[in-house]
Amino acid sequence: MKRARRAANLACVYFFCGALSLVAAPPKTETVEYASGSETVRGFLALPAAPGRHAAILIVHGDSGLTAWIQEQAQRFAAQGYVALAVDLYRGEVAANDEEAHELSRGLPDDRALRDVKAAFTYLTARQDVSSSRIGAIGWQTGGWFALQLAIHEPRLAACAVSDTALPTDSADLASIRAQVLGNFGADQRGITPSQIEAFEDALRARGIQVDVKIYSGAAGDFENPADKVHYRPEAAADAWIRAFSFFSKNLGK
Amino acid sequence: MRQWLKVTVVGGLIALAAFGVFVWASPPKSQIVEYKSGDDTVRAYLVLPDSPGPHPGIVVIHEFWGLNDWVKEQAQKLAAQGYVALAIDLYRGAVATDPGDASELMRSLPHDRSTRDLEAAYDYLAARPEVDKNRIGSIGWCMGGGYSLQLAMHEPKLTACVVNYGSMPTDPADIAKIQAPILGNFGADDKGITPVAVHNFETAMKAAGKSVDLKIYDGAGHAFENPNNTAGYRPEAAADAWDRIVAFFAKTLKP
Repeated sequence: MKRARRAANLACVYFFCGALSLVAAPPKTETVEYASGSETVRGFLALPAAPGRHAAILIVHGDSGLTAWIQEQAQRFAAQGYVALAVDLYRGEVAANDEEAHELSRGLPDDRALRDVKAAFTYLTARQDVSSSRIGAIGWQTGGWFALQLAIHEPRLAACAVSDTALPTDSADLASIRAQVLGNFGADQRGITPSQIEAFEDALRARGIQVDVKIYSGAAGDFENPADKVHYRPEAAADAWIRAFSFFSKNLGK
Repeated sequence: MRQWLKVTVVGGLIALAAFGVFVWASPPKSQIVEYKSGDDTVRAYLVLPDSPGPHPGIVVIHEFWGLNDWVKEQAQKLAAQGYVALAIDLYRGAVATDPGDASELMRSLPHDRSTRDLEAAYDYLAARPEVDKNRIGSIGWCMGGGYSLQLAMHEPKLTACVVNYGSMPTDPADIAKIQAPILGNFGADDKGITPVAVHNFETAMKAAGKSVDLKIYDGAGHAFENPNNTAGYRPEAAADAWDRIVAFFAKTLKP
């Protein structure tokens, strides 16, 4: 009980700090363009107010696309001192409802999405204000899968946080992951089983990769997203945010 | 005597009619089969044609709902056309009836495991005595349509591939790997798999010298072939798509 209260207090402090920094100096945001294969794609970039080289976070949206909530996550990270780039795998499309979210995620070509996250990583490494050895990725749902794909294909990725996502099972793929991994899952979601999560953890730990997974009881998928009126669980969401924030500050040398 | 003859004839006709109804109504033989996919044992729904083989085989891949009755019915319809149809179960037993659940199942699916499952299904069909291993195709709808193309990319011996409103590869290296002729059916109003994406795929396939026949149905959106999609079902487009599928498999898989 005491622990819960302490956690709640801590959450308030973090939120207060976050809110304060947002009020004090809202991070600069802009739409940036870069090449992904033969295409030019756009991303939503949020920058910290302070000058200098920063750690960076690549943000991969969930099934609904690059929504206002995802943009808000980029701003929250920027307020904490990260260069935050939210990719747009859907190329401008944002789902207005669940059905559209399903259609968009079903229509997403795997190979293009992987190209896009790799291109975003390359874009970040080339920026003057980014310390290229301190780049992490975070993703929800479909975006979690592609954040992990980036970890598989890009050994320089230092940290990878995922929520509510499928987990890779291929042993060669798992062996390619160098990034430290954080996972947040709702206990009541239907697709990802505890045994899948365990197998994933075991495979990474066997290779000396740190992996920290938390399963939230009373939560299903999408519990971190306030726009999802059905699944949003404010307390679990606050806890997941604190975990992600501490995970990145530990692994990206903040 | 005449009375007796009458009874015999009428009786015979009734019996014949009953037999006819029985044959007409008897569904092709179906069974649940098990085989290995990597370290896992997976199950699938297998339907065999009535006649002895060898027959061409078809891997049938479900929508984001899972291996439900509609997909099994498609496997039966294909078996009735003379194919050994294997409807795989990427979700390992889970079936959704609610779109939210279906979406959750889809996004929890490890793509790498699915690729393994597809190859395992192909190998399983190829090893069955009733199947001519040189004549195996695949078909999928929605999420399964995308996986049908994935199978074509990973299995160069696949002889025919049908995609119904599934996502398409864009990487020229992936497209170069496709050997099977492709038939595709799409809805013009599909928000996820847009006509632009269909045209791009067609252009890339043709540039690579591949055989591709894609049709976009006006006034139809995603999942227009499934009558359970009450708002989006388009019976005429669905019937036309089915005719195209039957003709395509007959051309590519039958001797």
